[in-house]
Amino acid sequence: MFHISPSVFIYNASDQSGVLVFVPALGKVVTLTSKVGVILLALKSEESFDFTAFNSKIVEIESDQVKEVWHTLISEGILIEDI
Amino acid sequence: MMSPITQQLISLVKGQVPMTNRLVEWEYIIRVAREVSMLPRIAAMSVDFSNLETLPSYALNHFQAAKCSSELLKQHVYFEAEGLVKLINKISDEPPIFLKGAAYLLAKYKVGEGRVFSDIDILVSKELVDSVENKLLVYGWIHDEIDDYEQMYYRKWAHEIPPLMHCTRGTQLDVHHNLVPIISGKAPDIEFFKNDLVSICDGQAKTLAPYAMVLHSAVHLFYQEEYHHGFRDLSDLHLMFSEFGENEGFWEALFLLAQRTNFTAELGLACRYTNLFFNSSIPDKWMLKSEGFLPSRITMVFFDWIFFRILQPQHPLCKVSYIGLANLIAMIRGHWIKMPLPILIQHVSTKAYKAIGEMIAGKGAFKKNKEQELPENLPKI
Amino acid sequence: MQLKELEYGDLSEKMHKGNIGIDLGVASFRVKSKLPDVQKVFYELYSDYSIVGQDDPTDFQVSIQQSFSLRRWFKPQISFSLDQYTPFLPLPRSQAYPLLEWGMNWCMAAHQHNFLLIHGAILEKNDEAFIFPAPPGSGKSTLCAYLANSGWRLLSDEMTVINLETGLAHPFVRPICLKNNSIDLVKEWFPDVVVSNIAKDTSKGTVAHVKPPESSVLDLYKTAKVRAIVLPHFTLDKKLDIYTLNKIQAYESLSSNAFNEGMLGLQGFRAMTRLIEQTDTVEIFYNDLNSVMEFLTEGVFAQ
Repeated sequence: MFHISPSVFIYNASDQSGVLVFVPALGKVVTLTSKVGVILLALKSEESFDFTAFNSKIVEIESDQVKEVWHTLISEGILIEDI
Repeated sequence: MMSPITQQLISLVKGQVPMTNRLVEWEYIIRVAREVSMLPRIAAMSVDFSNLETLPSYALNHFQAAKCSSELLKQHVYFEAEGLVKLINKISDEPPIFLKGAAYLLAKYKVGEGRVFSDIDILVSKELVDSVENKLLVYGWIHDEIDDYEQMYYRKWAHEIPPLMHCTRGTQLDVHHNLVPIISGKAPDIEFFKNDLVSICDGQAKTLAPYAMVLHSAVHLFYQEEYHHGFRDLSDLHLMFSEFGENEGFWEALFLLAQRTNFTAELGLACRYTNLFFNSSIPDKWMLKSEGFLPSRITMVFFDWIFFRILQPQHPLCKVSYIGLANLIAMIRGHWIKMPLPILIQHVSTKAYKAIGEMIAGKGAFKKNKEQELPENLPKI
Repeated sequence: MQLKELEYGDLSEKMHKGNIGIDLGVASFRVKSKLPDVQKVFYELYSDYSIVGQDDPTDFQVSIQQSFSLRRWFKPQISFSLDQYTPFLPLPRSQAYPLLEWGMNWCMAAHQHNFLLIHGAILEKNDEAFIFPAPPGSGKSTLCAYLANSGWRLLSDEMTVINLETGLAHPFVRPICLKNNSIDLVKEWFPDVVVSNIAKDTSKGTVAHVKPPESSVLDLYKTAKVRAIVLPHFTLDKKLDIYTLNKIQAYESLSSNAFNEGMLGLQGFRAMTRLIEQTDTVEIFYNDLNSVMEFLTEGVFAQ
């Protein structure tokens, strides 16, 4: 993976209605239910993850974790592997 | 003789803020730059901290907006490059070679910053072309509808297959097996251009060596029929000369390649006009040598008359005299050097037939793919 | 200097040469047209706007011109250009004025990436702005014309302009584009407003443009804080039904109407999410405009 911006950005809505993931490499925003969002955010840290701390904020997930995020997106059927 | 706006754009390409007397001159600069697809380039070259105070906010706003579109293009090209690399690696051990705009970006050269282009170009071996094309067709790339004449032209005479487009993303892709049309009789032994390839994309793809990249750019510029982007393409050459000129052995390799592949005249013209327009830093020794590559003095009077005009940005604000005639001659020359005469006559008359149809029925009658030129995601207003 | 301070003859001459620039706040336009009907409507609808000074630059240089082909003799057509570039196919001669307005919007959507641009009307009352993002047919423009002529400040009928740093809305006041039946309705409700001639058989049906209130035009540089996003659906058998949307639904409805969110990349994503966090979003099904107005000023948002 040689994308210039391999990071993804996660927004967790303050009313817990869901999570949005902005994928710069795709130029797209992917909407997830909170449940999948929790899985993604959990990837960010192996310790217990304070989900509410990220309410209404955008969190960047950096390149070393992105492969897992992409993998999760694909295994959840949210992204289809292009090739 | 060079229009003031051309001179101002030249300054901006060099990262200098040009002299202006009235603020409205910035409108003219921005308009001309927008017309010749140079707005993101001058934005990339001139917006840095040292210039922030001298650039008027009017210009800065336009530069910032233009940067958004070049950033998006960059993301897009990286995304497509990754897919193409994976795909081609499935059928061959030979990594694809990116050319022109996409290569400038992927190799992270200065000439890639803010460079606008509408298609991605790759070079693969002649033997691989069919299998690459078939693989692409399976994975969502399609050919635009073209008529039988164009189909024949591409398959028999061209240096590339008919253009491909991705069916959902709309990306345009040209797959080349040579750099100039086979029919011209000037197509080089492509192996000379493939020496010293440079690794890009984490080593998964290649691009031409800097000297070969420069020669390709020069050949491309002086093999055109249409010079709407001539100024932009000449500024590519200037930026590459500036970036690569100090590299060990760059000039030797460039001149040797030109001689081996018979593109000395193109190199001579490239040196002459980058020097005239941009005062590019070409070492005296090589400048002198390049002058020896130019055609006869009489031909050069003629060439200078044409190229000095058509290499300027083409916009009514630039007020270049006889620009219409110069473009016409350049078009004829562009066809002439690419095709033997009988084929040329047939080719031009096919094109002329279409042009007459447009004159009678109006522009719209032949513009069936117009929507594709519009930016994506543009809702109907 | 306001446009109306010019004599019509002067304006006509300047428009003929493309020498007139008009200030629209977040962008300025140089407008060129030799067509007398376009000049006349432009003079009427933009009379309250300021003219750009001789030595000052404009952002977009637009023109409406007759297309040159033999066809012009039996079926005249006009085309829109931004400087040398013609983004659309030519249209029938009768649609010249609407094409100018749509072309000007296109310039913004295609080039003005210093702001987040959303396809939707935006109006302000009591220092609170409401965005009405909506596809054609939702009754958005009728509602917009109604509110704008009932004491609300019009920021824009077609294009909501959001500042990427502050999240505030910038006005982009333009004539309101009415379609089909709503043209007569608005004329009936507000007999004093200036409405352009109608253009028939456009891609949106019959259209006419309504002159924006002078007070809104004079406030072109006054930003507004967005209070709520209201998705209108004109529905014949519903007086007023209101549904609250959650943040993710709000994002999706707003994003589907955004012109340049993708172009702005992360900046666009940040601006959009900030906007939905700072506002409430409701979807309304209505047939009574006055009830909508009362709900917006006196309902839940008033607290």
